[in-house]
Amino acid sequence: MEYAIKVQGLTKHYKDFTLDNVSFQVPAGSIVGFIGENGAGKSTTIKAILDLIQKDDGSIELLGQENGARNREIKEQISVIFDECYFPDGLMVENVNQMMKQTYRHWEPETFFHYCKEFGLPGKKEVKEFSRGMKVKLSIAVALSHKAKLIILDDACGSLDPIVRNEILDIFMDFIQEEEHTVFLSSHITSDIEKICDYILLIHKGRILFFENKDALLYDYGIVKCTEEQYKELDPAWIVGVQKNRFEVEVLVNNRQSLEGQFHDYVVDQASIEDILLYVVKNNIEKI
Amino acid sequence: MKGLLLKDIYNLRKVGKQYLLILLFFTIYCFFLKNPSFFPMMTIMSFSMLILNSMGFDEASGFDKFALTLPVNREDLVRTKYLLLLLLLAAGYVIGMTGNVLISLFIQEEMTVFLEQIISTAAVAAVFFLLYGTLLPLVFKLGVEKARMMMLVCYIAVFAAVFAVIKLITGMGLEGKVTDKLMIAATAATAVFAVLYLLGSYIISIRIIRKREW
Repeated sequence: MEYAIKVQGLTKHYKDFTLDNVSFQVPAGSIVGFIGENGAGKSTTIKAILDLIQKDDGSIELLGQENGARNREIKEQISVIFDECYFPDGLMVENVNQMMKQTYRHWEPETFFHYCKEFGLPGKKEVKEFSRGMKVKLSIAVALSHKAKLIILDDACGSLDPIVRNEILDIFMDFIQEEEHTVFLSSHITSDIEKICDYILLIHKGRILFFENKDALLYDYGIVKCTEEQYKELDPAWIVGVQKNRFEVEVLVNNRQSLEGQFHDYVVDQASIEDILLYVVKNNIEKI
Repeated sequence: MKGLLLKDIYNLRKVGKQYLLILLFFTIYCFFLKNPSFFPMMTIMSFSMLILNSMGFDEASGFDKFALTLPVNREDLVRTKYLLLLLLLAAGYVIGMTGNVLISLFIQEEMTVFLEQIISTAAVAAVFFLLYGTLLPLVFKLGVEKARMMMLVCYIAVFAAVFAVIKLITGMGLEGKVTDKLMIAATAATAVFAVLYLLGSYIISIRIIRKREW
């Protein structure tokens, strides 16, 4: 299997935070959702992948190239969309087009203007007059207009309304139809991740907790609502996290099908990605 | 790099109207003073200051972080700014000298002074090489806002050094003995020094940007 991103033993120390021995591989042709709470290390990981910070240890491959973010040829094939638009305020859509034409070898003005039109971006206004959502749309239009093979999004869709977000997710679904196209999507919006991602990568306190196929994850994980006594009967190996209240115990388990087969009187709901994330954060789980 | 430079030019267009007004003000001022030599000095100074505006726009928008995700490397960010500085100094020099000639023609200044003007304006440009050669690594290291304070210190240091050299020459009683040839030689030596200084500054800026994190 080819990988669009390969991260091995990535470590970065800060005074109050450590990205600790992070390893994962993003298969080419897939959409990988990168989730974790604020400050978990998502943006730091992405910055390290893009060589915006200097790693203390580990190796990073982009599109098969070691330290690919330092390679101009590799960067021709990558698009990055941040949570903010970093185009200077005084630029207009046409200026961005001209600038990118001089920057990317495979820049496609028709595609760019097509997306600008589709996103309703005004041609005669400066970037400073754009709303936050429009700025992100401009970044997305740029990202889709130079034949990129890999799109990395760092919490980019958070400022978009649900309708536009939905349109954009559909565009990424179309993008991924090409076999060699890959999307690495860091987001807080777990419903988006659940909708389009093939794999889920969960980071917590600078450590990767799991990298799983989304369908397998949703199939395996469940929430058991039971009494304290029933909870005690559960195999500890299945238990990922527990939340107790006055009336019942809610348990996140990682073997829903087996549990349902074994304990017929237990109520087991399918766990969503958001449930899993909440259990991990609330229970401060460090290993799954 | 062409894309980065184009972006800088688009950004600086915003201050274009203000600069036309400044040029008009300098022109009127020179007419009243009957001293066209003031004009190129002011154009070089005001044009070269645009480099800080350009870096300020980038800093305010966080552009450098985004630029490094494009097919652009860290060195390109530095290279573009030094190239822009050279273009701005050249524009300041050419526009200044053109204005100087036109004002001279209007106020019927003797053209024999013109050679002296070319040399002294080149010396002014060399001083700005030294000034921005000192300032740009600081901007790459500290950012424009923090470096603005340093700018004042750099201005004072560079102009104090120039003043000290002039004092030294007059103190040694060389003032009357300075021939045109000697002037040209001194200007050429200053120009070579200024270019080497800017080259050194460029190398330091490259080292700074290689270690920078976003």
